[in-house]
Amino acid sequence: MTGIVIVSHHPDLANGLKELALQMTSVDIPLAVAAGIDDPDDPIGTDAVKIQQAIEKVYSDDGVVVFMDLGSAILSTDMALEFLDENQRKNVHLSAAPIVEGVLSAVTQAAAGASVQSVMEEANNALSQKQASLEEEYPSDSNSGSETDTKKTSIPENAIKLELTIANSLGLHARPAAQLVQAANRFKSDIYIKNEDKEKNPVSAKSLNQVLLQEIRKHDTITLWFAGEDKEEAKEGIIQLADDHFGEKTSSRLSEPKNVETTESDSIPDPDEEGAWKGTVISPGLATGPAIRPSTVTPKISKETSSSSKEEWSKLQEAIKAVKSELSDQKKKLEQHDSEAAEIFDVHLLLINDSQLLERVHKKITENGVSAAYAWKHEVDAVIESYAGMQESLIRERADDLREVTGRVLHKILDIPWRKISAPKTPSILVTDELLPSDIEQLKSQSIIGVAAAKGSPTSHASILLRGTGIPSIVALGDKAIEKVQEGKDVVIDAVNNQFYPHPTNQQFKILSEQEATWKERSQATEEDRKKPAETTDGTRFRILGNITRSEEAKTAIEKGAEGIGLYRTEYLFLNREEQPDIDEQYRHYSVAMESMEHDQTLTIRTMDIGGDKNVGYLNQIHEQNPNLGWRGLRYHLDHPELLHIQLQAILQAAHDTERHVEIMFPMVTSISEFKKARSVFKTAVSEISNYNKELISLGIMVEIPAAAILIDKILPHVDFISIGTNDLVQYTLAADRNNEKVQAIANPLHPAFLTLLHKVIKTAAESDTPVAMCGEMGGDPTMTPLLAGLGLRDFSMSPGRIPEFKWQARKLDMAKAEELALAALDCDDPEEVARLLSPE
Amino acid sequence: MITKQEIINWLERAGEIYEKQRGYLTELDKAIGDADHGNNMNRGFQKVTENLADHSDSDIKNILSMVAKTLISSVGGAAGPLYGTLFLKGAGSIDASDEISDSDLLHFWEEGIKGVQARGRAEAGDKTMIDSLLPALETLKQSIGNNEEITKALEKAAQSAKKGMEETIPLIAKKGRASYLGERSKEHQDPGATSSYYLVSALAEAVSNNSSE
Ligand SMILES: Nc1ncnc2c1ncn2[C@@H]1O[C@H](COP(=O)(O)OP(=O)(O)OP(=O)(O)O)[C@@H](O)[C@H]1O
Ligand SMILES: [Mg+2]
Repeated sequence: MTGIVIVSHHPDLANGLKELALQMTSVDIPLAVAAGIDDPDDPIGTDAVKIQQAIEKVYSDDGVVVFMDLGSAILSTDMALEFLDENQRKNVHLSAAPIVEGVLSAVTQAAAGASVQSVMEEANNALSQKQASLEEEYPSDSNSGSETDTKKTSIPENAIKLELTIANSLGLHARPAAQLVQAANRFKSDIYIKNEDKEKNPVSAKSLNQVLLQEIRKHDTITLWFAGEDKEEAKEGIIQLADDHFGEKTSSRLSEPKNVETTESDSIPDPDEEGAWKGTVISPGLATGPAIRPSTVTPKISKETSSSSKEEWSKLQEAIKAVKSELSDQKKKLEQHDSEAAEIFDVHLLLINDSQLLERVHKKITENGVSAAYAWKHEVDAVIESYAGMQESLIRERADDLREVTGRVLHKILDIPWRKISAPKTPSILVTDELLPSDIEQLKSQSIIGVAAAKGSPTSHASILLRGTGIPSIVALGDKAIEKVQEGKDVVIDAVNNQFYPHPTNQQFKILSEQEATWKERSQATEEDRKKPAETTDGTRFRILGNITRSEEAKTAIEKGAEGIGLYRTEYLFLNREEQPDIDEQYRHYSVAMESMEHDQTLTIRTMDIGGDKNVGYLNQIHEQNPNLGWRGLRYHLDHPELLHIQLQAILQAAHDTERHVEIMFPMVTSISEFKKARSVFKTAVSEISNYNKELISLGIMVEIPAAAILIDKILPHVDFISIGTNDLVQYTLAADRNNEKVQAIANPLHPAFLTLLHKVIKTAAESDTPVAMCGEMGGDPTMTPLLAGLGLRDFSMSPGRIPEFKWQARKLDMAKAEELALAALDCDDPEEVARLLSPE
Repeated sequence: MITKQEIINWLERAGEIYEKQRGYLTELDKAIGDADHGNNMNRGFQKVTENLADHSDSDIKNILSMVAKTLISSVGGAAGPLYGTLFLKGAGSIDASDEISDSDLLHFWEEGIKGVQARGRAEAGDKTMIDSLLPALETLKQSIGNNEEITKALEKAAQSAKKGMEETIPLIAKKGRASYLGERSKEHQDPGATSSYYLVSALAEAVSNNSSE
């Protein structure tokens, strides 16, 4: 963070200013004071040595800005620079800004994480802002929000240009814009941005508000200018960021780890003919009942106040501070799990760190003598309005973000709680924009029987917690799905079939209520027996395992009745971050997952499977035409054995320390030679662990490439276990992309060709006594169980929510019939014929 | 040739003068500044005198660097970094020994004053210490160029400094605190120019006293 030094003749002046400035922020800013001299009789003066020490105290390579009062303060600071280490000196800048205004602006800017250049710039602007506000004799409140937006920026002549066309599906909305602003702030150069398609004026790319107000959307052409010593690097940096789609993925299916079904809110089209909306099921089940919406009570605000302006101002400061620290807390909590979601808090923090807004509010409080709440609301509404007036819908939505954070501040000033989910009298369905982790805590204690959320992802922290509650829930329904839902009106969540009815007809409501009753009964029964084994009528025992994406889910899976983890996808740990997780971080995650296992249970952990579709910058991947057939999984790791080595070390150490049985599974194996290479990396890692207990670790592969399935008899002698990844094996065998709507239907696991391959793998494995499990979608689908069991499969791994129901159905299975069915299916000509066999009529 | 003892005498003499003229310098600074110049100079040079006691073994370069550091951290006003720079840059331009040649002394002043100007960006006529330092330097340079006796040369330099000091009276201050007064800084003698004159004349005294002994 940029450091700030205040140099003054008088300690009172400097310390007073420091206090004033720090009120602007709750962030710990490196700020030091060098004021007065060591003469008790005459302490007024400046001392170059003190200044040098102050600079050194706050120094970091992010740079330092020094503010001075006058005369010798400047001379002494100049002198102090000479005493500094040469490397430090070039990062220390003397600001010509008026000291009070300069320091105040600098502190807010530095708190926002801005570069030293933009701190300098913001400080220098402080004077012109003051001038501008004094020129207007009768300041008008209404247009105050747009003051900065209309200011024309002139581009320096030596600036270099960059033209980009935006590919992000939602344009540069808050998150990618924040990425751009943050990246821009890392460079010394001035960076300007202009949306060529909207005929806007160029603005600084270092200000979030200004970038957002450019309303940049998909396919828009933007021009960026770079001027300054590091303009080339800056340009290069922005090009990279743009190549990385400003930290976003361009299409939703690429955005989540493999095998996770996901639908992002922005890709939701419309409801079906029945009026039902699709989203992402978090926890299956049915719920019908009145909707409740988390209320943000509109508080009463009185304009008058009996306290002094000073008290009102500090009330606001306190409120902002409190909200900031809440936001930082939430961000920190989320960061460990979901850095992408955590970024949204950055946006919120940037939004309330708006020094111009604060200035206006302050003015209103002091000059008009109104209450802090009134002044805040008044000024904030003006800004929200200017957002809302924007053409671009996504930018308009920024108004919602702003409404949320500023609302939080307002509630803090008035000391009333923000966003309380009021306990309903009758069992109700929570319909909300987005669930926050803190909401889930509230849900548990209330009679909420279903949750529908416009936003969300299956892997968000809130979703994981939500899954743990077992409340039927669908997220990522899209804003439109929930927008017209009224509090108290009946809605229906059918999280068995992934359908949300915001306005069910009486008929629909009646039918679904009945189904709900059956489902409840059924789910009660399945839930009760979830920990009991899945044993068929004739005593054949299945092993039911959980698929997890994140370490914390292991516990939920076991709780849901899993007898172990059949697939722990470790990709999640590696996504959405700038550096790869080090061994300690990996170790911690793996340990958490392992510790959730009983000692007789096994955790199957898959080494990182990331390909060219995931844009993980630090992995130096290349962009691929056909990432599914590309450089991913073990293929990548064998070219970077050092990365594989780290992951294996972390796994081994965690297994050793937690004393759990762990199966290490390599993805994307085409030939046995690849496995052997991986095994030799494994052996090196083993040799580095003292007291390595051989019993704890097994090595195996994921069978997901047809080549491995066809030559399974050549592979089995070398591996301890195999697991069939049906999602990829199906699409590779049938040459149909399961994510491509046009050919999805072809990627049908019922295809006899696929079943034949499957049969071969299962049978060969059984003959050689090698454990074989199935961890793809197919394995968790109860309608497939007879077929798979008939083909000889006994170990099924699936998402934990499916386990109780799966076990319940498995217990009713007749093995003799299942085997008959499998034989018949292998004999079919096409998938349709198999489908008819499965559900006759 | 100037000896180490002469340098020490110079600095001690300056200390005496600043102590004696403290009230006067402050009086001058009161008229066009913040009434601290006398205190500033006195504080700085008392510290210098104190520190000299520990420098009996040091060479001239060392002593002058000590003066620089002492002034920088104890004067407090503009005079601190300015005189500090004078001694710092001056000391930097001479060799470490117990005697320096006349031309070394000239170098000291040349480089020192250059430093002051670089630091404070003052030109001749801005009503600052530069207005007595520059004429003193000019005279010293000429005298040494003409192979005059060093005592004589310094005597003349002090006279030029004095003249420069007096000529600041009608000037309008362009630098330092006095510049905030604009026209109103006229008709007052610049305190910094005055303390600079003292510095030069203290040197003249120290060198002539020594050689006459
Ligand atoms: N920029 C400058 N260049 C050269 N001399 C200067 C400059 N600024 C001030 N001076 C000299 O310093 C003298 C004042 O010294 P003094 O120690 O009283 O500093 P000051 O002006 O009180 O400092 P401060 O800026 O701390 O108030 C002035 O009379 C002038 O000769
Ligand atoms: Mg003064």
